[in-house]
Amino acid sequence: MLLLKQYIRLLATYFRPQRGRVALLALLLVGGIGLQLLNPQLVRYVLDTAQQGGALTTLVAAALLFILFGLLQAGATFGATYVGEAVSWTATNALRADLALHCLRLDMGFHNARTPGELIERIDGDVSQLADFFSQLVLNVIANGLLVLGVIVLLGVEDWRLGVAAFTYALLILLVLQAVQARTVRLWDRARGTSAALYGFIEERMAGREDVRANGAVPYVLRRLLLLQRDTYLARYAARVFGIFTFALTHLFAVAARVLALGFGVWLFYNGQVTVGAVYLIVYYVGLLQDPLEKLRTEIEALQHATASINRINALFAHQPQVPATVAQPITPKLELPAHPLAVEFAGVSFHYNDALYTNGNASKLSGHEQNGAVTNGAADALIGGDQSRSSDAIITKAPAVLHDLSFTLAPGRVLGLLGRTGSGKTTLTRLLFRLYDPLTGTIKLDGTDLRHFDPPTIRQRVGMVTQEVQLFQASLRENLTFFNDRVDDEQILAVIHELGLERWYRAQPKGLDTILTGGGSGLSAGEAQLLAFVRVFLKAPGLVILDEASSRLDPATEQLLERAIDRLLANRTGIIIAHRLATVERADDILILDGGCVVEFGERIHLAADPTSRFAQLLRTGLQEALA
Amino acid sequence: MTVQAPNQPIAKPSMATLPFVWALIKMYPWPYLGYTLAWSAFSLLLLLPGLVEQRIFDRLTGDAPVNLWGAWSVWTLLAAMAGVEVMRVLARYWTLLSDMAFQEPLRALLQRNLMESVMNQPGAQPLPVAPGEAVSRFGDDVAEVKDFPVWLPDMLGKLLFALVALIIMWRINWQMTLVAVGPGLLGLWLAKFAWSRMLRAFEASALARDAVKGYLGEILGAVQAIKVADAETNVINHFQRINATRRKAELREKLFRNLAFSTSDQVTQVGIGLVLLLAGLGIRNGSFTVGDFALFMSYIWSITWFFRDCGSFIGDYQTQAISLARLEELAQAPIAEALLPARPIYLTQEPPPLTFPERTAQHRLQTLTVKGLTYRHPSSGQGIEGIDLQLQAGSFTVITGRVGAGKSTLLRVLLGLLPRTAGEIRWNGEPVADPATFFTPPRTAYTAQVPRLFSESLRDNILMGRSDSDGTANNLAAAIHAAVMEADIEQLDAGLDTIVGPRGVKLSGGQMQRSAAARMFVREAELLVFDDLSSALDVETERLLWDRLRRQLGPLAARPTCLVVAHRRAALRQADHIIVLKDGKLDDAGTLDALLARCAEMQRLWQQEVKG
Repeated sequence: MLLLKQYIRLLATYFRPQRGRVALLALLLVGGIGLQLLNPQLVRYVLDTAQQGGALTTLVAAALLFILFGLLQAGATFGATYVGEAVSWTATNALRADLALHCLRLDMGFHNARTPGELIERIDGDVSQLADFFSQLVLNVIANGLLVLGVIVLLGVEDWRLGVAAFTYALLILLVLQAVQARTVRLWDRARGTSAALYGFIEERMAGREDVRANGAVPYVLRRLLLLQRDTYLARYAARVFGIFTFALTHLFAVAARVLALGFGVWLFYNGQVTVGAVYLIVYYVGLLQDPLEKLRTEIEALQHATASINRINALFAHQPQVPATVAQPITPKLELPAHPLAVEFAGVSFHYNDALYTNGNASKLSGHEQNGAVTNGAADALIGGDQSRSSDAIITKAPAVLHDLSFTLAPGRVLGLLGRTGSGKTTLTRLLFRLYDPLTGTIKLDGTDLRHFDPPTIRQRVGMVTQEVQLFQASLRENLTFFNDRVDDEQILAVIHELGLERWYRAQPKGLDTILTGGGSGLSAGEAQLLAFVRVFLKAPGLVILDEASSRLDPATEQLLERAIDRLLANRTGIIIAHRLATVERADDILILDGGCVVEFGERIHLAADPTSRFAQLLRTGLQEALA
Repeated sequence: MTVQAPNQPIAKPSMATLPFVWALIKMYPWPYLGYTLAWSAFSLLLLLPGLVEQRIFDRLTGDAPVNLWGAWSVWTLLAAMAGVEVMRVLARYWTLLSDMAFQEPLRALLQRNLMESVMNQPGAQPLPVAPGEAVSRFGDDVAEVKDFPVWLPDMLGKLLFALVALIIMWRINWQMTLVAVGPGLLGLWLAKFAWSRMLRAFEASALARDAVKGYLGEILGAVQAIKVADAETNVINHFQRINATRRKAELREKLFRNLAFSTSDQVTQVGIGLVLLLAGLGIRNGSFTVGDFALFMSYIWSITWFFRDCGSFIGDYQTQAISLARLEELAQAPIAEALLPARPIYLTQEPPPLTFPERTAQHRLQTLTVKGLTYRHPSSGQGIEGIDLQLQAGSFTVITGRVGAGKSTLLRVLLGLLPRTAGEIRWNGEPVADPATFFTPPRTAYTAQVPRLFSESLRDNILMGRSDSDGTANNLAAAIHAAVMEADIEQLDAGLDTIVGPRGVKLSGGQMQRSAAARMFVREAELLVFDDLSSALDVETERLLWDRLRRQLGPLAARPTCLVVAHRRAALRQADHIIVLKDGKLDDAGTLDALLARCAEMQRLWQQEVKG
């Protein structure tokens, strides 16, 4: 019953906005069934009338009516399929959008624990599984049930014994099919499991060709492939042979029913109880039973599959973000951030991730390339992952404290240079500023107010960030720059492009703002991608900007453009820069050096640089790469 | 920045569909013949129930002609009908067995051959298609080409049935036969138009589907950026636009698919109505019987099957070339050479155990000489240019240089993991024609900079087929020790039997590198090639590893030769010979002291390694 409630809730939610279409669908399905039941009666009438030499006109009229009904029925079936699809796509698209939005609103911790692939499987895969559910499944179960019932009743009208026999037959065949179904499903699940293992194997080995080939393991991989193929073959063989058994069973049942129906009809005929047309009618109706019974079985099976998907989708909906909208009761009217540069204050902030996963924004970046900067602390081993960064992150299951009792203040309009090794907490610090997480102890204040008093959107509209890796979408340049916000007009965008000195680059775009960027912006250098991110930030007009400078080498032209963009970005704004180059560090008014989540040093840059014992001065001497990698 | 290239049409396959199909049939001729016979029997037996039904009704109305079986009673006829159906079930079972005996070995063979082609491509070069796409070629495209031959007997059975049925009907009443099947055929002809539209709509909907998945992948990979930009709603609005496009495309496809598949059904319905009309008239004047009507009704639908499936058959025939081209693209070799060689397949038995080449005197390394080795990356044009180097047996050579200097590229080109553009490689003075095949154990073994572990036990990951029985157990322990991995393994729940890799326990980057080093050590190769261990190892571990490598794997005269990309002082100090690369070219080479004295690039690199 719980199941039924779930079905109804889901259907109600996504059918309500398209009530009219759903009603039309129901009408077409029921109409089609009515015609299907009616037609054999016409056949009987024609045969009997002809056999008895009846009136020509009625005979012709009945045959023409048959043609008309046949066409109507075909039309109804056709219409039902199409309308069903239309209903289903509207419903599943709405569900996809709801799920995707829900996922986007969940915490980063949720996303760090899952690959995009897994979530795509939920949002697209599972929802697609529900397409049939929405299009026809429920209605079809009802419609086929009605058809079976109709046949039983109409047979009963011919002779009550026939009605009882048909009912018993329908019941029997449903029971038998139900009985073999559990095994069928199990066998096919196993077959699917083995083939998933096979394709998983193939995918992994293709990705690791370098290791396999150069270590002479190609024969080993091929032998393993053969073994997996054997598993899939045996599983598939078992499933298909059992499938034939099911086929034989239902086929023989149907044959028995047909032979018995014909025999009974003949017997009735010889007893003078029915006409020859009625004998034909009986056989016709019995034949009509087979199809909906088979369909009922597959539809019930499909419903079960849909149930599994529904459960997974509900489980996803059940996740709730941990960062609440606002901690304190929102003061009315809603707290807003002022238009001037924002002051930043950290007071005794400590934090560690509760994701059960340690994540580090830079990890994959680091070992994706050859990396000269040595990472010398012991924990580094676990921090750096390369292509399989997700896996390396996960080794640490007990989350270490990432920030310890962190305190500093940054006055409005000043620029803070944030320095520290990978894993020292730089990225985490910036994440807290956006309320992607809340600190466990201590407070962060923006413009003198506890961050937790603001809605996350309020903060995010006034704080801008340019990350090392800039995510670009396979969409137009305009959409990439505005983040799909169609309320930003082109003049605004062009003005920003002008301000950042990107006109020359912009003019090289074949379709201007309508130019489609290839997936991931693969044609762009890291510096160029960052420039696009600058445009994004400028379109927001933030009071605080955070810049994680690209660490890769830049060509001189791009470097010049970036310099200019950073100038513009920091003008009349509070800034936090995670710097990788000396030139950028020199823009900072204040310097904060982190190590292991603790403040090692904080102070004005000029003072620190002048003090030879300071860590900062030491860094300036040994070179930044070592410390900032 | 590039503008999205239009979907490039795939090149034509090197082998036409029909010769390919014929080659497949010749591979397993007996199961194929069995399938043909079984399916023909199954199809032809379908003629009998209609005939029996005709006799029964004719006996009821008293129209039965007196002939061979006209004398049979209704009850005998009913029993015969049941008997025929039992035979059909048996024929169906036979069909299935021969079908599997034909298709399953083919699937396995094609996949196995494709896998070998893929594995033999330059290992460090990206595959011609994305990984997910490549897997779907192993699954879907192989399935597509392996089941096409079965279409032929399938269509043959349906054709035989249709022909015989038409002859029987024709002899009863040829005008009505025309009326019965004519409209259906007309419908099929009409459906042809829907077919071509459907195929076009299918392409559009496949593109729309990919767009949805691609966009989902992009936004789920950019969650933080979206949150920080407060763009959740805008991003979803765009998602809905893409979804709406997909809905439109899918509905269009569905519409034409329905038209293509059901037009003839609907027109056949008209044919049946006309038959009913004419039958009524014929029965009335005695030229037609109820039995004849029953026979017509029983045959009409089944006759259209052949014509209906003609559409799918032709469609499937056309997609064969596409699938073949897709397979060929992935294999990067002509179909006849890549896919068709007959090799043993083991669907029910255990494949034979692996054998490994013995390390013999001819594998011994004396000198490895490289001259003018050049590689240019096809798109960026970067790479290495005219590299010369020489390795002596037992030496420890380090390649060093800045980020992007071409160190990894040099190793990969040398080992054949990237195709060289120019240059010569000589092993003991003999030129090496195909480095990728030549540079494998027992000559060389290799640890990549970002090594891959697979989802199997750590033991299997290290041994990769080397069995414990050839004295490797000892070897395994030694290799693990040399790789400084023993403490890590102790900490794992199931030790060496722990399942690791993407679907197993996640190891850290350093643990993965050291596992890969153990994988290399266990192969007891003459030349060990390391790509930058230090990218994930701390200084202490790295030093320990070099130490153990020199002492434990090399107690004999047969000390392994090492070629190592590194930049830490620990490794540089070990080196007998250092090669300094700069911007893809050889900057200098020599001993550490000599280089520190004269090479500015080396001095710079050395200075950077303050803590090493």
